[in-house]
Amino acid sequence: MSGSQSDLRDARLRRALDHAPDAQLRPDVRTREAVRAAAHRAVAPAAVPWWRRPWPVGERAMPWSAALATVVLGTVITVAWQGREVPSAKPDSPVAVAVPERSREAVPDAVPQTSPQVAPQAPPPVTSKPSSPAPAARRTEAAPRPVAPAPSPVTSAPAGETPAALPEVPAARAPGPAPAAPAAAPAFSPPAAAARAPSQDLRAQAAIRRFELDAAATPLATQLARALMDAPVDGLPFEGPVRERLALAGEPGEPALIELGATQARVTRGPDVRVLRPAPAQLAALREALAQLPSR
Amino acid sequence: MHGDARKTWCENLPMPRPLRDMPDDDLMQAYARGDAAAFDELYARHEGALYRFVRRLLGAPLAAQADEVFQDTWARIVAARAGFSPQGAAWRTWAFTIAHNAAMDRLRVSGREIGLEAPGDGSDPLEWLTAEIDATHPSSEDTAFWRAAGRQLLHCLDELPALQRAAFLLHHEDGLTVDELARQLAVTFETAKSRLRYALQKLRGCMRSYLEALEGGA
Repeated sequence: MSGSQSDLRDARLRRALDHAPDAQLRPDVRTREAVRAAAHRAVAPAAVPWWRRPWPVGERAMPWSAALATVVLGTVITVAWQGREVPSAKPDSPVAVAVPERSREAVPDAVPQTSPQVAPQAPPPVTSKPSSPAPAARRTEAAPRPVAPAPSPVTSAPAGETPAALPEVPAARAPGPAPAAPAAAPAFSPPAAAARAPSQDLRAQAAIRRFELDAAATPLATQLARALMDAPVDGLPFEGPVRERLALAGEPGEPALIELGATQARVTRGPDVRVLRPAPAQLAALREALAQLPSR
Repeated sequence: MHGDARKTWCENLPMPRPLRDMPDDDLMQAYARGDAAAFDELYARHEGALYRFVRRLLGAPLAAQADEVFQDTWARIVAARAGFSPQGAAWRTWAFTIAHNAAMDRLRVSGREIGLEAPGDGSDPLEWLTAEIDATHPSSEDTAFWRAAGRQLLHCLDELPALQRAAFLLHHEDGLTVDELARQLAVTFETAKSRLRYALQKLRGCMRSYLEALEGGA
């Protein structure tokens, strides 16, 4: 057989090649599977199911795992800090610490001298008050002073009791001299008191004019004082200093203690204490009537 | 009634061509677009030829690495799928070129690229064949003869230098012209021709006894 042959091609060799033992040779099965698997993986991204395809935000896939991790982390942090104060966090507005009672009591304190006097409503400090000692000298009263006692005397004092005995515990204390004391207002001795109370307190105490009113002795002033007790209640604390202190007696519910400030009046009737804001004219009329009376 | 000649809209749609009817170039382009099934068809068509080519080009000394080189060849094909252009060489030529390069790279690494002529082992299948069929002039249709000839040819190929071996195998496997072979190997026409001439000369000398037997029996 010659076959077609040339210098560069020989059919005999070609046929021999076709009949060579390796004519049916094939790669190993594992090699075949590896080749096919690699080829499929190479084009796998293009065959992603529609429900797994990323949104049309570009060629890159949506990092769903990263998004899920962010949500989980945020949830964990929220749960961990729930109910707890965030460090360095500050409230929007300062916390209001309302101490109305204290302020009310403080008012008396603001007027050092009076506060003790006003004792009836406040348990306070007082005691120390000069009120007990010296002021008593001139003022005698300070009934309210002894804090708690003040009301007591009031309550304890029967209506029938003389006004003088009323709120004036101190008055009781300083009986004789009491009335005299006011007269000798300026003179108040109690060095002890002075030593104990500030000079300001003493001066303040000395500045208070005290009156004992009853319908018989001082009809006009009594009438004006009783009318003043009907003045509207002022929602504000009493602003001292007390200028006049009126002991009012003779009516049911009396005796009462009326303390006049610049524009307010504080009425104490037993445990009841009210701060009133009478009309300026009413207050002025009462003061005018009191000016006609001797103060104690 | 002769039947309604009209067709529904769906019947007018062009039917997709089955993969087995698609040419190699179309299959490769389909695979480049993401059709994995197109690759499977392409692979099935050329698995044997490519594997044998790689095996023969590596020769007997590197036969154990044939699977690895074969797998590397297909990996290169997959990686280059986007760059395949049917306007250039046919897919088969393109794939065999890749396989040639992969095998040559392995031969280069193993130091067998120069392909020093390996000494013959002295084993001549023709002698066995003559004894087997008890014929001194076998027929050209004798399958046994050709099997023996093929066995001898493989042996002769192993003795060829790798460059000449590659030229011979590509030229006889792919049916390319010398000019096409030159382009495939990225060599000049004369170089390709020289390699082929040298390969044929050596192979014919190595296969002389079989070829003479054929001439005698023809």
